[in-house]
Amino acid sequence: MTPLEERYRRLLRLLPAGYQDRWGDDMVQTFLDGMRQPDPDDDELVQELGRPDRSEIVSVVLLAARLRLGAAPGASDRAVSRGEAVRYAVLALAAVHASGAGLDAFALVWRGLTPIRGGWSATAAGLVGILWLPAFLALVFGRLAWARPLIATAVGLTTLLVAADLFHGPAPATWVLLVLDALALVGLVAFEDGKRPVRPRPWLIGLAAGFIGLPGYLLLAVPVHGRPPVLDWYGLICLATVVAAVVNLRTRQAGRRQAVLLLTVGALLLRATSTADYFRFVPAAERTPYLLASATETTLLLAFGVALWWAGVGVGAAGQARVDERG
Amino acid sequence: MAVTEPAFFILTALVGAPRHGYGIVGEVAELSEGRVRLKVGTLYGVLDRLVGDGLVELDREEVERGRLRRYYRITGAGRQELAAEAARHAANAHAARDRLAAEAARHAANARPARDRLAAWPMPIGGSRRPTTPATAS
Repeated sequence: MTPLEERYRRLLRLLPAGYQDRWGDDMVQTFLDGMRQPDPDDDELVQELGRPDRSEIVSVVLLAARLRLGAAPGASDRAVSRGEAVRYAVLALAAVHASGAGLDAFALVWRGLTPIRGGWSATAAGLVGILWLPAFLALVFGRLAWARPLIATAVGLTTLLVAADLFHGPAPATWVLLVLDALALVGLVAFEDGKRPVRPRPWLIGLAAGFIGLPGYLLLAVPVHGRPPVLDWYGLICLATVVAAVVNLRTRQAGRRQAVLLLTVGALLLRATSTADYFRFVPAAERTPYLLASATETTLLLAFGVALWWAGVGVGAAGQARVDERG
Repeated sequence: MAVTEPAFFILTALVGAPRHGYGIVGEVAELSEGRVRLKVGTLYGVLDRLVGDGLVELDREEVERGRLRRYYRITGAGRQELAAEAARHAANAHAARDRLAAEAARHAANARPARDRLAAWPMPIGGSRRPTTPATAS
């Protein structure tokens, strides 16, 4: 085995074992054929020093991700439910952004098109956030070819905005949200173009509820002494996640359960980092209700997250018991 | 069933002769005039799906330079799927061509020289004041 073949085989270890058994040798053969040089000296050099180029590496990494997320024929049940979990989680994040975009647009119009509180970068971020609305709709209707560039653009522009705002000290939660967005971009490998990942209706109803409910909430909650509401944006995300956990407490769909667990982890990270904002932006004398709210939300999230995980273990054990009885 | 562009080219590359992995890569590059250059990960991702869907199957295995080389061929179902997809592409192209031709005709009509448009006017400019018979010197 030449060093080049060894390097390529090392890359193929990213693929699931069954897939490697089925296609590995053939892939190596095709790769080596592509690297062959007409001149024997050049060929020897390439076999000794050559490496798979970046595009070959990316193609194998993407293939490995798709296979491990069940987007391939003959994938294991575990990979299929993992892929389902990623799709639900990405959709939920896109729904949060799309609802937030609706809220920002409403706030912008309500204030007579004056910038959103937080200056130009917050206004620009609000405008960039609008990209998530068509992206969410494209995802729901299985138009991955539209969703991918929209989400990539939104994540890219948000990264630039956060980086530009670096010296003013962006809130830590902004970074966490950006990392979650970037993960959602990677998670798009679990989607297939032309295939609807979910029934659109409930997701569209959810979006419509967000579009109506959030501006209503903004009108009710914001004017209180001009201070941010105790149940702020991240608090609302926590609340939505708790509702999702409660709704899915008894679900037998492993993918949905795993998705809510993923969302719970994300919401906990956001809540923990956004709590740090209270120490920066809220005067010490007024801080207590915010910290109490944050602690309550964190406790609820943890409690329902653990309950969901425990219920999942129960469902898994019951399923295994049935398999044992049959076996 | 939606056929992606790489799948479409792979099926097309296998029409006429079974091919091994690198043969498919080369044929697809030629068919697409160099526009589609399949990476190995992409090729086998698509090939796995096509084999799973029964559109492509293993033709034979040959040993070359001590290595096993697999050849793949298109199945009857694969031919049907490719023909259906090609018909869809042709219908789409036809619709686009018709629209473009109609638009080009409209533009051509609007772009006639100004003199032609004046000639088409019911009453030529100054026509009523023009003498109908040439003036004759007495």
